[in-house]
Amino acid sequence: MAASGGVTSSVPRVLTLWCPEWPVQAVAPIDGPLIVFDQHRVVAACTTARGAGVRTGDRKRVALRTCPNATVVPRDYVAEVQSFERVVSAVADIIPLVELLEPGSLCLDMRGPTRYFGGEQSVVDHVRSVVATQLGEEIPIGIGVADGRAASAIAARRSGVTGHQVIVEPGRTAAAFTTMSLRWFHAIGEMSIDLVELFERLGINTVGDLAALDQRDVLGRFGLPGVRAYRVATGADERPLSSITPSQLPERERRFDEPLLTVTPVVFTARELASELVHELSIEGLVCTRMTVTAETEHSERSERHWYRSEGFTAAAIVDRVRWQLDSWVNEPSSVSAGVIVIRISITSVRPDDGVQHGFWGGASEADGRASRAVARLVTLCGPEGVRVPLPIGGRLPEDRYGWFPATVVDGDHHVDVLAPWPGSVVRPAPVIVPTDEVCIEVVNDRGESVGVSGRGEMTSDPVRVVIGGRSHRVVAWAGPWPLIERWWDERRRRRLARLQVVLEDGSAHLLAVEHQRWHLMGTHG
Amino acid sequence: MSLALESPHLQSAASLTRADSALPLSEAYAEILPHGLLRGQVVVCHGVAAYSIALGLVERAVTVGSWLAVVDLEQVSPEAIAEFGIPLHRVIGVTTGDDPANVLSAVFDGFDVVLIPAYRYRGALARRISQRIRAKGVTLIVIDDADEVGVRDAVSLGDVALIGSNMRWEGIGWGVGRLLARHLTVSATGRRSPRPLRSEMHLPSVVDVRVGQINDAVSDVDDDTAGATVDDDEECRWRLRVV
Repeated sequence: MAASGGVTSSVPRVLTLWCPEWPVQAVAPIDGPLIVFDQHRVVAACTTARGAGVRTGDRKRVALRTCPNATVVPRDYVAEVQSFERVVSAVADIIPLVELLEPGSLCLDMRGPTRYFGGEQSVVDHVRSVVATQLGEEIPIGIGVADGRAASAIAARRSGVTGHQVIVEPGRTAAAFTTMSLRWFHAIGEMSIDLVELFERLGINTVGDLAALDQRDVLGRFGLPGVRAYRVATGADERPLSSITPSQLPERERRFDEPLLTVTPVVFTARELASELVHELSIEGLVCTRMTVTAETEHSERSERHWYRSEGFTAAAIVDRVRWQLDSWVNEPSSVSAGVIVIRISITSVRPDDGVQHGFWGGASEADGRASRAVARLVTLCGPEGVRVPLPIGGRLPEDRYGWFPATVVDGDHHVDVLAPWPGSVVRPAPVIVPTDEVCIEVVNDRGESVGVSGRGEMTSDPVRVVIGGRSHRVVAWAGPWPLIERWWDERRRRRLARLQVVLEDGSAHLLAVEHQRWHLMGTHG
Repeated sequence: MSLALESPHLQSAASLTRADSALPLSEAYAEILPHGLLRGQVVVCHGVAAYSIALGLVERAVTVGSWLAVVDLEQVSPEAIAEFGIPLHRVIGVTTGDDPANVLSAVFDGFDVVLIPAYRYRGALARRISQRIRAKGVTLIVIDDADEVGVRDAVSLGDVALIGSNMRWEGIGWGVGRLLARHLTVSATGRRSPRPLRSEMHLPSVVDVRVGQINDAVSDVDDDTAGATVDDDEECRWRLRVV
């Protein structure tokens, strides 16, 4: 019915399937409320937690204040992709060319299926029934059909909330979404939150408000991102491709002489291919928005998935998709019986690069962009534990005051460089070197006897030599001791120690501490 | 003609390339490195104050926008980095693991200034690294504080060597006072300047070292200032005036 509608439009009809709260669905069922976090922010929550008032984007401690008895789980992309895999294959069984948007969401071109199944309603019914057989009736799903990807993504989200399918008639996008908030554009990744907030400050709150403007004014005032939002709002295709499709879209393939039996080296190769592809496109000022990742084993088993990302794939994003796909493929029972011999990444759709994927920790300069990309790459090379950012924690001892935290778990907007006052801490200058392991030392007086600190906080005798790592150094100046008693009420964590600063004959200065009558090195002013 | 070139709005082509190939330095370091902190250069810091010399060296560059990678130096305290005036949100720590060559080249792709320990800068790896940093325009700072580990090797590969001498700690006596400031002379020897250049400086620089004591002995106001880092210098000075 829809295909033969009166409006002739070049915009393809797209069906989007969206499973609300997929990160929660991917976790094994737990009693009680459940909240999934990514980088200390809520990404999904079960209905109970939602009912208590937990919202996406809340910080962890805010969410736990709202819903104190909730179980907290970190986001696990691989598990999400893996559990979504059965949905994807079930849909792909009836309709080929399924595109994965993200775990829990896929979309497909309606042109062929509409003819085959006889009408859009029929396609929707078929998709709904195969998904329901895979997931069970009780898991909510949203199905939306509309002109273009963005509109159908919004339709699917609306359907996921209301529980009814949403089919927007061709050419009726603008009318259907008129009263919806522009925040939806952020939710589907079409608009940055900054732009949404800018529109809101200017009194443009709904899709209809935006669509009522003149396109030239939008371009003049908000630039390319504004025009893209405008095109979505007015129901035009969000990404006209005609003028920029290069003669041939790039593709990269790597064959392995030796079949690879683990995923890591394949991903490693994919990283190379991805950066080559991204580089090749960037020379022409393009980014990839859709790609196909194919892997084959020696026994001709094959994994092929199409991936779509509206803001464009960075090299790191491509590698992430490859890893998700391969991980879920090899973990599927009886899918792989031999080593991988081919990995192929083909770009199937591109758009002009307007640089939306920059911005990391509020980064604006070119150096910031470069550093953030390097951090993403380093995380894949050395693992999340290998890349760390320094942050203040607070405490009285050098080892407590600041720490190195994995860059992947740190909030982007965490900029606090200043510690609250901690009475009892040794003040400036802080030791530059704080040993990561305990370094035991000896402090002796002029008769070679070990020096201690009395219960009244006084040295038993003057420290004359310090033995560090088997080598004895003469003390030329010292100060202290400064006793410190921490958490005396806590049996397990209490500490009672005294600190001493010494300057040795070679000019080096150290902060020493005695605890349980044993001296150790707290820090060195290197 | 020359007047016009000195105007703040006009820059000669020569000064443009200079600004492009060198990172900014604080005044004390500018005396011993007259060409600036050049991109593609290897600076080796020696001696017991090697860490402080290195942090003081990069402070200005990171403050004005470069990113600093601290590679395989988990023992460096972020607190000290902050005390040198380096904004912590542009500092990343990296642990290279089993494959230092690959990780380092990824680091050079993203960071202008890289700090590494001397044991990572030796032999064949060092030669590879120095080629790469020239290509990428990265300034590499090698910290060589141990006296037995390959000193000569590192010197022969570095473009400039910095070493501290005449070190003097202020504020500490025999059983009295506390460490307040380190006064030292830093001398630079390089391939281009065989005669060493010297500069006297405080490391970390003395901004508010008079502020604060071990805190249980002092007033509330001092408690506040004692916990503050360099970002609060302005406020510290203001508070001092009030006190």
